[in-house]
Amino acid sequence: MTRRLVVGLLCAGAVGGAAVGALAGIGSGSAPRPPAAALNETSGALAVTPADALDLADAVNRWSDEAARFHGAGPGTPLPGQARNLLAGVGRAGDTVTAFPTSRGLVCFEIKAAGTCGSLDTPSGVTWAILSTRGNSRVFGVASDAVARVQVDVDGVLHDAVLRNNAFHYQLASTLDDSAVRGLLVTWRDGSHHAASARSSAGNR
Amino acid sequence: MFYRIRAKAFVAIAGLGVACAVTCAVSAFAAVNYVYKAANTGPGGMGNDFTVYYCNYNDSCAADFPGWTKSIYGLSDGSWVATVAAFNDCSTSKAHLGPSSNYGYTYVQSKCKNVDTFTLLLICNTTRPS
Repeated sequence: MTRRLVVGLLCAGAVGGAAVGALAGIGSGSAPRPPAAALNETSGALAVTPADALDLADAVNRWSDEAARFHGAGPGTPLPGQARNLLAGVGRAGDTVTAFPTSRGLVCFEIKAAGTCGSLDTPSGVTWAILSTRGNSRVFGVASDAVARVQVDVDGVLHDAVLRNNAFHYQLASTLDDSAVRGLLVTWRDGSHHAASARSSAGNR
Repeated sequence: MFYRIRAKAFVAIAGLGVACAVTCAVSAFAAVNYVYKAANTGPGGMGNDFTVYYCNYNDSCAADFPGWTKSIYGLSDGSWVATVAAFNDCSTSKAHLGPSSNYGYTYVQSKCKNVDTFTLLLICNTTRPS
């Protein structure tokens, strides 16, 4: 009788534990991750989140609040604790491109706290922005694992961006600003080309 | 007489500027969000916050549809400090400018712009001391 009770309790515990484990697994698996290996590696997260990344995360929280009031789903909860420096020492100013994911699987990225958030699950496989300051404008962003090459269309001429660790960066000539950037030509590892226009969103959908 | 009045006005404006700089430095971590534009905006349309004598930062703008938007830090003399233009193929397109290295010392203005080819519900905000 005692043996049956012990076996019963063990079985109940095992079944319960399995159920809890399964539920936990569902919970952790439900958070989408951006398809960028450099953001998902277990190592590489910064021990101390940079102030600029925290500043962007504050803005993301504000955007989420606004989205709830104005138009529904926002970028999600920022996860700056998972921030990575994807590029460092690039361009004339020695820029660092830092990125972190959100709870909705978007990726937020910034240089000197100037940045934005976007999805890598797009036809082009990149999310990007143009940061202009006087005489020092740059195109930068994050690319999915599918991307092999990023070229920037500057007044009709293609220029290769630095692409490493799922991030890219291109420094414009000091005489140019964001108005010179027409878009990107993104080449995937399978050889396919994808345009991302800077002025007409038609090419992005 | 005329010059004296102008001189007094200058002193008053300069004093207000100094007061602003001090306020900005003190209240850098006590800020409130401030929406200065929330309206349908055609291509090339802009929102402006020309209020001066407070420091603003964390500028951003959004659209109700995927599109290119631009956040601009401008100085009161019409020149710009920094701008971010961005497109994201998600429900919102955001651009963010972090604290300006000039803030507290210059009178910055915030602007946002629809740089896409169709009308957007443009929502632009900035942050100022509470």
